[in-house]
Amino acid sequence: MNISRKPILLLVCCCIVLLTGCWDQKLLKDAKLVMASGFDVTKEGKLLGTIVIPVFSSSEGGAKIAESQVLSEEGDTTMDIEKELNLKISGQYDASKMIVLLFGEDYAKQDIQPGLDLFYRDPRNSLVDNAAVVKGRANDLLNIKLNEAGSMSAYLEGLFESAQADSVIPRQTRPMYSDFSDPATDIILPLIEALKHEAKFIGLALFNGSKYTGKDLNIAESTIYMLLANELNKNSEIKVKVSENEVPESKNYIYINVLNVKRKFKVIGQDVNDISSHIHLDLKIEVLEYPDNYLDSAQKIRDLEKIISEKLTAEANIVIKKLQEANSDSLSVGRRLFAFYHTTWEQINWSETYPSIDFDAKVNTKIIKHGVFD
Amino acid sequence: MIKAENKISQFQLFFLIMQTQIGIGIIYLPYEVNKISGSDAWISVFIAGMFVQIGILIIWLLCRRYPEQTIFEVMSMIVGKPIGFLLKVGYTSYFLLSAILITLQFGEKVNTWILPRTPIWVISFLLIAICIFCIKESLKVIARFFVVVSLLLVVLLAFTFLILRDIHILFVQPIGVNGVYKILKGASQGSFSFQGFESLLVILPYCLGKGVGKLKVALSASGFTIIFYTYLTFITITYFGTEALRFIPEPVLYIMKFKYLEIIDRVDLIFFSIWIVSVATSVMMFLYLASIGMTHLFGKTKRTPFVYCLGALTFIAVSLIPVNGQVIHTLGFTSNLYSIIFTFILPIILLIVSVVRRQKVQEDIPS
Repeated sequence: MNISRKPILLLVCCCIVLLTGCWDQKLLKDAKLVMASGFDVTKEGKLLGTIVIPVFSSSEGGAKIAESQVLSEEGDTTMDIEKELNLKISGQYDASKMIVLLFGEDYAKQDIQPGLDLFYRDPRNSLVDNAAVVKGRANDLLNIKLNEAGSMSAYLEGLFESAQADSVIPRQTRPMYSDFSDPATDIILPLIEALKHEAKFIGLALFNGSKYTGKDLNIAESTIYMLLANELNKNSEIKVKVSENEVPESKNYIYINVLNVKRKFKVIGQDVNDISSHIHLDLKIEVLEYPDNYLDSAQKIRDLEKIISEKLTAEANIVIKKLQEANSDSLSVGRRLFAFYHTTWEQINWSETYPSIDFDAKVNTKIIKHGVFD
Repeated sequence: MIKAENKISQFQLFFLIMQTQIGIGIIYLPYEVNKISGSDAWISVFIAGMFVQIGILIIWLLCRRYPEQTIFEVMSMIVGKPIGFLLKVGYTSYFLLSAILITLQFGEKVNTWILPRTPIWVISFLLIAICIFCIKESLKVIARFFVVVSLLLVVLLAFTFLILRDIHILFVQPIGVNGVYKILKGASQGSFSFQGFESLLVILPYCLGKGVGKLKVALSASGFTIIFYTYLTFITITYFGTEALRFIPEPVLYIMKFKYLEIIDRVDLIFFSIWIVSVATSVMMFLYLASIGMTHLFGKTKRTPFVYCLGALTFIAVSLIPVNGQVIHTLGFTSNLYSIIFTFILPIILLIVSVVRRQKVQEDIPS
């Protein structure tokens, strides 16, 4: 070896010692990864936190998640619960890989923002992008004995993903905090329910600010809502009742899938006392199931399009009515008013005005596909 | 006279300026400006950039009169030895203060975001060590390094494309709602993030080529920074909304934290690692400028001892200054004041004096 290289080699050795990063190492073996958690409020008004920790067991094929450990603890704040839980578990509480966060119905009605502070403040915490309101208590849902193998958190994550792909619940694209702080828009969260051996999405929970209003949209309405919000994901299957009195009952329905949405969202507000909003949807749809009839003529398809458009328009208007009744502006009408009619916006109190504005929708459909069968 | 083989090309000048400007500002500029000018912050940033372009023009006008001398030599020629000496001290300390402040902010950000238990002096030591390693070489070597690491900026940009489909343009409307005063106030705050163009005072004579060509390169380098910063401010506002952004001091990292890819979980950490390089280049440049200043102050020709000395000085300063928001704020304020004086006011005064005294060194003969 060249003699002049020796000092460099020595230096390299010294550097290796420096590179270990002793201060900030966090070993996975010491950590208990909390993958899902839920908040409830107890009768005494305390916070009840429930966490799910997947238990890894080693098998021949490597580590596998066999089941999950569910723990709960009461406290005054999120951190309080975390501290108490840390005393219970064998390892460091680590919420950095949290993927699902659930709010019990009563808890959500109070206010969900304070409980989230910890997630926003700690740089290591994940900014949970799958949050939902539980009909009932989050604690009960997380304690379900699943039929499926695997951990509770993985199950819930899968549930979220498939519902998002079906355009039943919205994808969380930014931290919830953005919506809380914005006076001109409200958040909307999925509503989930605990069954005996599984959990199920049953619609969307309407929020006013960061408080759950107690009013919901059911699944059919949620699907329409998602179109109104222009948040079509992979597919969006909608059942429409196109005729009455057919026997058997199933002949009355058609199932469509929305392939493409074009939304025109208009807000008019020159006049403070006459604010109106209108959503026009142009849907390109595909017929998935139509037990009643053959789609063999252009006339029939046109008739069908007309009926579907009418029915969907009616449903869309019901959804909008419900949003207004709950005073939940999750379609961000206020944001548009703010942007385009700022002087009007400054003169009004939006949360008082919103329920009474003139807000309607119109849906137009066009069948462009009906499978490989007329 | 600067030897021809030590000169840098205009291509390298572009990256030198850009890399010096782009640095610590990436992650906190949108927050700072949004606090003042709300949803119009992106306009403020753009206007701030325009101020900076004017600053570049002034510096270029000044340097054009002395194509072969750096500011340190020029000052004594314009205002005489005694005042020139004071100005030299001023500029050197300004460059040093800038380097210290960036290192300090860098330490604080790393400490809060990724390495909470590592002492800040270790973090700053590593940064300063790398800087010394680089700047003890000639400007040519530094320039080459800056060009190479500019590739990383592309990666940085690519990460921001991730969120483009989740932004809401409505958040910046109505445009101009905050009024001209607030926009301009935001612009004056934002202009400090473009610090680094004053390096032209020293490095312009090192650059090959004609005067106007150099100006074009300098303006386009700074123009790139303007577009980059305006873009970042725009996407962060349209992503979070101006109300939420008021509470998020490092919005770009925050976005990265929320987003995750299939295979990469914490994009913010990767973003951070790349951003570190951008910060390092800024510190390198300022330390380099300070080292040239020191060399002139002491009338020496060898620069290397001063590099070590300045590195040590920065390290000591960073270790001694307690790192907290208050201190950084005060230091930042001082540095901003300094920066106005040394990057705008002094070059203007020097230019005027020089014009009045009809001093002019002949245009450089093509070599």
